[in-house]
Amino acid sequence: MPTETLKRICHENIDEILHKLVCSLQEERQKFNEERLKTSNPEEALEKLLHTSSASHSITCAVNGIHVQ
Amino acid sequence: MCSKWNTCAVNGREDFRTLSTIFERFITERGMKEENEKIPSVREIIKRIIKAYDIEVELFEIDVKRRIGDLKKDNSFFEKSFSQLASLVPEIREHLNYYKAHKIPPSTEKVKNLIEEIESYLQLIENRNYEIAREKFYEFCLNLTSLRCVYFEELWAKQIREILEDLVKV
Repeated sequence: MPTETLKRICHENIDEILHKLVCSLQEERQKFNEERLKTSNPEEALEKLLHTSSASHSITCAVNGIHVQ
Repeated sequence: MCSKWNTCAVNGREDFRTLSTIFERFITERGMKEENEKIPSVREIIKRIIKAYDIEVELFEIDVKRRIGDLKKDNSFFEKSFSQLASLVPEIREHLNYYKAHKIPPSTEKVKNLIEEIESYLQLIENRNYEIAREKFYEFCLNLTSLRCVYFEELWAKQIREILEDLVKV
């Protein structure tokens, strides 16, 4: 992170910055989901979403050093 | 600054909010009766998963503060978020109680170890042991995420899929 940016972050503004960050990540994901699910029927959409969570499980396990079964 | 772990928490929560919306659409479109007892079970599972993600998103925010503090060589960023962390303890304990009450045989030992590690970390929070709590914070977050993931793989995803299959047959 650039030093100037780091200097500007303080106790007074960090919660607002984090709120904006979470909101922007959420919006990005909403758009991604809308796009990838727009042609799916509900059953397919549910399966795609469940499948993604399995994929994120593998990623977390890899980060955490847990063997993925 | 952001690791894969925290992006997963925000994305995962959003995915399950979407999943909830689509599930409600699925029930309506198929004209399923609200009194079908399987419908509330799916809602309960989704609600629990979203609540688990809510905790992880808050932990993500605390983790960013911890990392900012590290970069600025100022531990007060983590210390000031300690009350936010302490406020999550009852909710985390509620989840641990759920995990203890719902055994998943293939992963019993792994779950037991994760629960023990998480409980010992909660003790650090309750004892206001800032220094060790800061050092072990990321490990604690990963343990909590691992526990949610294990339950997703071994229990919740299977339950949701089975119930959906049954609902489609009706």
